[in-house]
Amino acid sequence: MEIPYTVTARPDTGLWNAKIGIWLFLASEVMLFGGLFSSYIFLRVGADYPWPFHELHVWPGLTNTFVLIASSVTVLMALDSLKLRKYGAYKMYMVLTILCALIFMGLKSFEYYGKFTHWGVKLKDNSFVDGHEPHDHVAFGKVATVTLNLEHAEAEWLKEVKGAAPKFKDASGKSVELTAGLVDDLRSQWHKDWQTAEGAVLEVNDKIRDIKDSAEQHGIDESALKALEAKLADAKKARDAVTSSVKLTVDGAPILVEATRGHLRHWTKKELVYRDGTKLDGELENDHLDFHAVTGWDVRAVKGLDENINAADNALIWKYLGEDKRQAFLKQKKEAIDAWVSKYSSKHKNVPNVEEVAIAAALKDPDFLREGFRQREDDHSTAHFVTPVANEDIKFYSNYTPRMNPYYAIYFMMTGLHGLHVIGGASVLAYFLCFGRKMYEKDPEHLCNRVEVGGLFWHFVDLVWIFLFPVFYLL
Amino acid sequence: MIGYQYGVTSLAFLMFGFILMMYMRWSIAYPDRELTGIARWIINHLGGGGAQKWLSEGRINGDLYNMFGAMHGTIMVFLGIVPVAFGAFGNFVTPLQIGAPDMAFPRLNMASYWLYLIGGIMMFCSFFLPTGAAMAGWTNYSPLATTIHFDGAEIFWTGQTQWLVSMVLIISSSLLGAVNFITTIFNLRARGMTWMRMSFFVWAMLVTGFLLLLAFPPLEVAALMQLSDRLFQSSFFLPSGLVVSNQLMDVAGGGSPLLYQHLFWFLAHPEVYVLILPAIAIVAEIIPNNTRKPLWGHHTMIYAVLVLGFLAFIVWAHHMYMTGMGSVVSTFFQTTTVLISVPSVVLVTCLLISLWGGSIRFNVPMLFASAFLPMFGIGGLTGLPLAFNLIDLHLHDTYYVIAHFHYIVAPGTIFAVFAGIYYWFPKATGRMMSTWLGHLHFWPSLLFMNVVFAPMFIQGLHGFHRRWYNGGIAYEQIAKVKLPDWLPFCEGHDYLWLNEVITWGAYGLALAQIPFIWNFFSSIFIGRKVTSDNPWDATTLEWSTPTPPPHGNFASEPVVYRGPYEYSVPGGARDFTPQWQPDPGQPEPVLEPVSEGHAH
Repeated sequence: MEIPYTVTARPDTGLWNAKIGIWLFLASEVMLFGGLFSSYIFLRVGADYPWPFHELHVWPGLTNTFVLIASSVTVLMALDSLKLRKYGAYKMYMVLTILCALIFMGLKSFEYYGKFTHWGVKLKDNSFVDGHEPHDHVAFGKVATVTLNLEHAEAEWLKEVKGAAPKFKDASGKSVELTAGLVDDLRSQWHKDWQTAEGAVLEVNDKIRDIKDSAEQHGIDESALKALEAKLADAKKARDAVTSSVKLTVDGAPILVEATRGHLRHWTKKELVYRDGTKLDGELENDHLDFHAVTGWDVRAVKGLDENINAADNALIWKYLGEDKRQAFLKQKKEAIDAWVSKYSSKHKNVPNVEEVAIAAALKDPDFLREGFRQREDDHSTAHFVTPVANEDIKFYSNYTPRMNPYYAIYFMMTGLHGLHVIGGASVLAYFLCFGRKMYEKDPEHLCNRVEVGGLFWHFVDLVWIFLFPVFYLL
Repeated sequence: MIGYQYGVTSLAFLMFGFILMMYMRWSIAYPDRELTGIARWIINHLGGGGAQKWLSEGRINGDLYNMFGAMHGTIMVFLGIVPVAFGAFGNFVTPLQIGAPDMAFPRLNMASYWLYLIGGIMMFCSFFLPTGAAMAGWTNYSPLATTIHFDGAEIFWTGQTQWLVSMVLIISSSLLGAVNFITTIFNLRARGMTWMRMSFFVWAMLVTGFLLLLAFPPLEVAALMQLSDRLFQSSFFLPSGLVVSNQLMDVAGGGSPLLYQHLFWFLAHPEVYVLILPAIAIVAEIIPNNTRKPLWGHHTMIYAVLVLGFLAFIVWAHHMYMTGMGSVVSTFFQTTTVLISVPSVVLVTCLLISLWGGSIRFNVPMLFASAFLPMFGIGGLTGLPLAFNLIDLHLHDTYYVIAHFHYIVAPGTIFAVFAGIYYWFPKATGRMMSTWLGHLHFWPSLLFMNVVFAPMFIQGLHGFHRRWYNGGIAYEQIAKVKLPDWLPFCEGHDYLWLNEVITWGAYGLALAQIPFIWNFFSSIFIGRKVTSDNPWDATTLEWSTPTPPPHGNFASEPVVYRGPYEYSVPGGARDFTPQWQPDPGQPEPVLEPVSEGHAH
């Protein structure tokens, strides 16, 4: 027996198999994006930082909305042409659909690129500054000794050494040429040595256990037990002597490393520790973060803002942005407050000390905070260079990737997954366009069914965007 | 074919999960004893340098225990029970019972199996990574699961990350499977196989399919978000100011750990029904066949399973009473949880009443099926106290919970799976499994299952925590407490002694599976050949096909004339009337096209 209803519909359900399949698949897709939208609400409601709404440029999103709607129409026209057995028209509409998908993904890439190249620094008091092209290396010089931790040692740090390949001496004074291969060898040798030493411990342990287990029948042979216990102590000592740390002295001129912050576990003025446990002793030369162009600042989350509207007046960022920017902020803040107070007092006539009450109410209004306490300078000509931000003032910094905050995380997660759906859907449609001819000639209705299924998915992808656009760009 | 593949792979994973559990039991019962022999040899070959990472002076350490605990849960649930119950039995029996030549989308079916297999192999291989496999519990709660090995150089090649990647594959596999099952049941039913003529098995598979289809995507979301938290350092599930190992984490914060639990349990509660519905379904086929009576309340059971399927989606937060999500929310979920016990009890009661007055044939499948009822009953009824948030404060995370859900899944689902294997084996291979070995498998299994799980209730009520690997100081306190005198066999013993009882029970249970493994593989080659296509004198369509079923399943198009459980029909020539047998003069059924009126 062959599988029935692959092309024609089953009489009593009125459906062919793939049509049921795609609707079920779409149901699970609804749950997928349903879970994501619910997460968005959950994260937004529970956010303990100013939720970054209205931060995305509307025009690419809006354009993409129309592009996708247009593509939904063209995919329908393609199916229609196929039903009318106009293969040429079908091909044209399919090409248009795929073209729309390409435009969509192009705009999306443009938006993503802008975010990846845009950085933000949060200072210790939660004031915030963004800009471009930070130089984020930690320069650490006069390195005289390097200590490897053989449990996890890798050789990645060697790539960050400046100048010629360094030379080392081990504890016995023998010169060592440190390479990635050697680090791997040392690591596996240490693992082996440790295993052997531990094996010796367990062997003695087993013998002691045997004596104790058989104590009831044979009584304990005290002298044998004592001897074994002494042996056990020796074995343990031997095992503990298998050390995982290897100290190497730099042979020749002290070396300088320029380490990427992400590769480091931590550093102080005197030592630098990589994530694999490799420790360098030397002197910290520079761990400033150099921001080349500042494009905005944000003092909404400065500690105490809720209670004291003036806390932001002396925020840490003014130290770096300068007095001009600070004065501009004070002016902007005053205007925002004045506007709010006059609006408020015109509505609430009989409130004593109206200004105080108005400001308290204003602080609960996200739009007020955005207008008074935040500035975006999208015109890069006004951007200026700043002095390097000192490491001790930095709380957190990141480019505008999922790392920045849960808003950008969910933004990338949802638009990214949607983008993958666009790519997937467009690939399937492209397959029908390029390889559909043979099936069309054999059974045009079969191709119709396939295009219908692909089109249903494509409409779903469009529909998801119709929800994504307002959620991320408008609300 | 895919059914056989699912069956063998998932049985292998079940055995693997069982081995992990035996290590854990050793650590609990004998925390001061070194591993020896092959047990130590295996640990020495795990990733990260073997003994020096996973044993302390030859004894199982906390990391190893956590790793095996997390992987035992994951493997048993996602790689063992679901594939064997839904993947294997569903794939083999469902198309046969509805008279379909195959699943609706055979290639999708294959893709589903391969995604599952690759996910499973990746899960297995993660034991050999330098960091070992995942070790944050099968629930993989954030922030713990996000931050384990977060500081390593290669975060992608850590057990915790690989767990997430494998889960994404396994989830995708289940989604494809669910789409396939539902479509098959909707569209490939034989002529005359109307909805109410479908066996309870098929109905249960349909509901299970919907549970998988709609509940798994939110877990996929959670897995992707946690993956993003690990790989891209986002903060979906990381709160502000998180300190790990005395260091403030260098992440943005502002996320919500509670969100992960909501997403996880939105899947994982329906998942519980994915584990148990196929089991009830198998038992519901075997009981009428061996009581030679119709299934009592066939239609009632169908409505009950539909209600259960719906309620399964609104009970998830009863796993989260301890998270501080608020008493209003707790009360809502407590109410729905109590509600869902109604359809569950309906199902079990119908099966129980089906036994009444039957002349029961106690063959091996029936032994397992009838043992399923009280075992599942114990598991179900002990769940009721857990539904109430006040009582849950005391019982949460104790061995009481472990005993409760293991009674459902181990002597419950696994017994049903054994029943199903003994029952459908002759159809799948054309040979019977040995009855004698079957008895040798059944009786010790029944005994040891209870030796393992019954004492856990006692320990749990006394406050034994489920995550103690060696107990530490808490053990010493409990060691002073004697068991109550009225407990049989327990006179003069303390609570710790039960640990040893359970552990030896578990090893006994392992031995009891040897006759089964031998029986299973040897019967394929030397089992007694069946003399008819319908050796159990059953009524459903799978017994009308040639044995084993060829490609396309049926020799000619099957046509259905009656309901699935017409046993001992008064006046019938035999004590069973198969679905494919027409009454004298009964016309062949036709598929009525959708009428115009319907279409509008």
